[in-house]
Amino acid sequence: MRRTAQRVDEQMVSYMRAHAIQGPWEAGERVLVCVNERPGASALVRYTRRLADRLHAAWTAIHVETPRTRELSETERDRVAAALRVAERLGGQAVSVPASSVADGVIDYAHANNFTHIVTSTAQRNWWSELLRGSAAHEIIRRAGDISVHVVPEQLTRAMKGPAQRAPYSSNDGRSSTWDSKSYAGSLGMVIAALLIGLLLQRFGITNVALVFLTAVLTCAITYGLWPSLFACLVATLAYNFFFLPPLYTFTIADPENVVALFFFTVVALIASYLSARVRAQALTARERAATTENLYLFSRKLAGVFTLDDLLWAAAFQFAQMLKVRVVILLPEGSSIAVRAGYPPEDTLDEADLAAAKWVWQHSTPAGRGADTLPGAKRLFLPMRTGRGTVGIVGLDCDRPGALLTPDQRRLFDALSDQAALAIERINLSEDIDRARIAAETERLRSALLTSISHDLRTPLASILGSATSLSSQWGNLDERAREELTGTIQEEAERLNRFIANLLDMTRLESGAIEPRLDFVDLGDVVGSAIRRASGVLACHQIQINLAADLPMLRLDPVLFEQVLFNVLDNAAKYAPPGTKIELRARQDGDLVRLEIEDEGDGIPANDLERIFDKFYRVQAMDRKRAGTGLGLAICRGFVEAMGGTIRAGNRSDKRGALISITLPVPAEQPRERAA
Amino acid sequence: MTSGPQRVLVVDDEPPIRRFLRTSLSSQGYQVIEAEDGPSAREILRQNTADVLVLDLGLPGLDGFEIIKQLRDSGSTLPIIVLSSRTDEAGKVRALDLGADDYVTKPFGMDELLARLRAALRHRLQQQGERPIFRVDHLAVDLVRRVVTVQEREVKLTPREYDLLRTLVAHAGKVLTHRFLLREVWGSETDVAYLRIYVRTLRQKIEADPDRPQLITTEQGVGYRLKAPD
Repeated sequence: MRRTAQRVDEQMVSYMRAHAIQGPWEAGERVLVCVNERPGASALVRYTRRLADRLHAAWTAIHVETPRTRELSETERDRVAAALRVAERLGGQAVSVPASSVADGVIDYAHANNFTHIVTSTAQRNWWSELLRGSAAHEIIRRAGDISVHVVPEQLTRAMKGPAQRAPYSSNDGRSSTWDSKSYAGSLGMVIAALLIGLLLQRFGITNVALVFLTAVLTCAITYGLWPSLFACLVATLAYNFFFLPPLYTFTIADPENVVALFFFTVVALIASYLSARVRAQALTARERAATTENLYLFSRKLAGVFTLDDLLWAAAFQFAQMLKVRVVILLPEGSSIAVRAGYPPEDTLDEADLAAAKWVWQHSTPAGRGADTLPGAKRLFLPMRTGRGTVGIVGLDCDRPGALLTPDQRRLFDALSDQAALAIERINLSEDIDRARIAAETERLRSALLTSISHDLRTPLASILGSATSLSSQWGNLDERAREELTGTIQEEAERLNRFIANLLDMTRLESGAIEPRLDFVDLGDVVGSAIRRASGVLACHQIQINLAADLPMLRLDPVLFEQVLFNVLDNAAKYAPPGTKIELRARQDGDLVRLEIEDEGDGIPANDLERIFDKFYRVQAMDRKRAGTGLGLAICRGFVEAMGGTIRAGNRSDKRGALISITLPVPAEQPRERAA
Repeated sequence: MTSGPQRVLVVDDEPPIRRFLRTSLSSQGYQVIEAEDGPSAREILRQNTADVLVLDLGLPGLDGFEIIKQLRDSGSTLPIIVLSSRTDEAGKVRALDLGADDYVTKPFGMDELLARLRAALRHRLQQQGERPIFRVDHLAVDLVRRVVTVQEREVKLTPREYDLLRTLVAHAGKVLTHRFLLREVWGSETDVAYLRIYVRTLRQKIEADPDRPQLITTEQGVGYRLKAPD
């Protein structure tokens, strides 16, 4: 039960996240979890998620980048990155802030953002380590003020179940601040320079040159960092003693006053170099973070502007390839299997080994292929793209460089990029789901409208036909000539009406299924008007028709069959809504590069808010007189046909008197047909 | 030529259609022979006992087009009227180009079918010798003197307009496809647009109201038809 509840929460949270819904809990409890580089970090995040769920609280995972962060091993950095990703995947926010100490960062952030709970873990350390470095947890508790602090013993988080975080494709596991001979040589150089300046000053009778050495040490600290500057400090102390403190050119010191001076010189140099190195480290961390953040920001902005899956995948593949300097393929599920959907450079097939590795990744959601523990024989390394709902796709990477595919930094960058891409894919998938649901609902609505329409429009004429026919057959002898004519006339009219209705249904179906392909041809508009009026002569029997076509109309590119149907439907409609005996006028003139054809009647006109809707399927204007109601398809078909032929059709009302006006515009072709000189 | 009632072979797979055709055509003095599919129709045609064929294009098995083709390939001039569906302009044109004489779109009124039957049978009779003067409504075409009059007033036609009118007159009452008219009048299959231009000018010269033509009517997507004399 608990697991199910959690899963439901997870789905809900990720759904809300995908829809950018800010929960109503936003104003209530807020939980902040401190992510550190210790092994239990991800478990601590999961613990926090459950705590936040119980409190109905929004939650954030924070990692504080202190100067010490730069000295972390790759494994430790991976843990931090993994824990932050877990937080995002589980619906939390993940942030990294630079600060001089963990407690500073956490407390400042918590106060600034209104957090009500802080979750942190305590490491079991030696008493001296705690004394030396202080304990972040204690510091946080001391300064928390009205924020509740939850301290989880680290043994507990380690015991919590969570997927082991490994870096199968990291190249080294060494410390980042490796021995760099150049910076030590540089430091030595600076001390020697200080020594030379000191000797020069001494020649002018100035003996107190300690500050010159101090300057050299500080410069080293700022330029090369802590260890080279400590080295410089040592060398400077020795050189100062050797060259300037009597007895000269020995490492012994005669005057006790000078012993004290040298001691304090060393202390000052040490403290100064430590402080400057810290400043430098912080600056470097900030710069690196800024660069990564910039890249991620650009990437996420690019993804946000993409609305089709193909564009998105292409953008993601391109971005991976650009930022990681590798070749990229992206695979998405297709049916029961997976298939390549994008690549940079473009690629659409994988060999057997690669496909097997990709499938394995899809099934197990862990990396496989080149450099990984599973299927290392594959050409590419395959990595899952995950969101809170699961794996949405697979990324395959390869390059021509021998050795490890990605440096640990690149791998963390990849993880961040891939998380964003995965979320974007999920967003598009979700919006497609929503579209499908909407289309399904629309289809359902249409289907019921269709059923209503069919049952009404088919049954009414059928009832008249059946009734008339049975009267004729059973009452033949009792009916006089006039009555028989009336009944046969009804049968004929109603059968024709039924025929028109079925024709409309067929046209609509053809339109919707995309089976309408206009066969455009040069057509004389007058010809089509004539044949349409001839065909509509039955329905127009009670109206006067006036045709007014400009004499010099150009030939138009139309499908004459479709256009005749358009005119027939418009005329049929006019005849239905305009009272018998009134005039229906049809006129056409050229208007620039358009021909405008207008059909007006003398009926009641069209209510203003129905002007667009009358072109919707199954929409009928509610007429007082319902007996001539149409199928609600005629004008929808007109619009479909006219637009298929590159024209427009609009409805309006006459300005001179009551009555509807249907206006059709058709493009005039650039060239008119000319007969060859015979 | 046979004397006695004209024999109409009705080929349609729908029994109700055959039944109403049988009833209506019999009452008009035709003798009706029925076939429900292609093979049995072919059998009857082989015995050469029909004067006119009414053929449904949507037959199962051997299709209507195949029957028309085989008949015409064998040199038969038996008039053929095809029954087709509304949206199948291409099918109508194909049947006409294969040699069918006319078509009626399902569903159809009996008047329409009877008019087509009369036109087709009359055309067969006419083939022996054209009448020198063709008259319909207010139009008269003197095929010997090549003079066209409308309400007794002579109208000037260009040679090509006259050729077009003469072709229509020769097949009055029958639908003529674009392709047929182009071949007959222009001698080659050029653009249908020229044909439309000529029909427009011809209508302006011979129709009482060119906007509502009564003599040359358009069968949209198929071709043109000149009204037959009563």
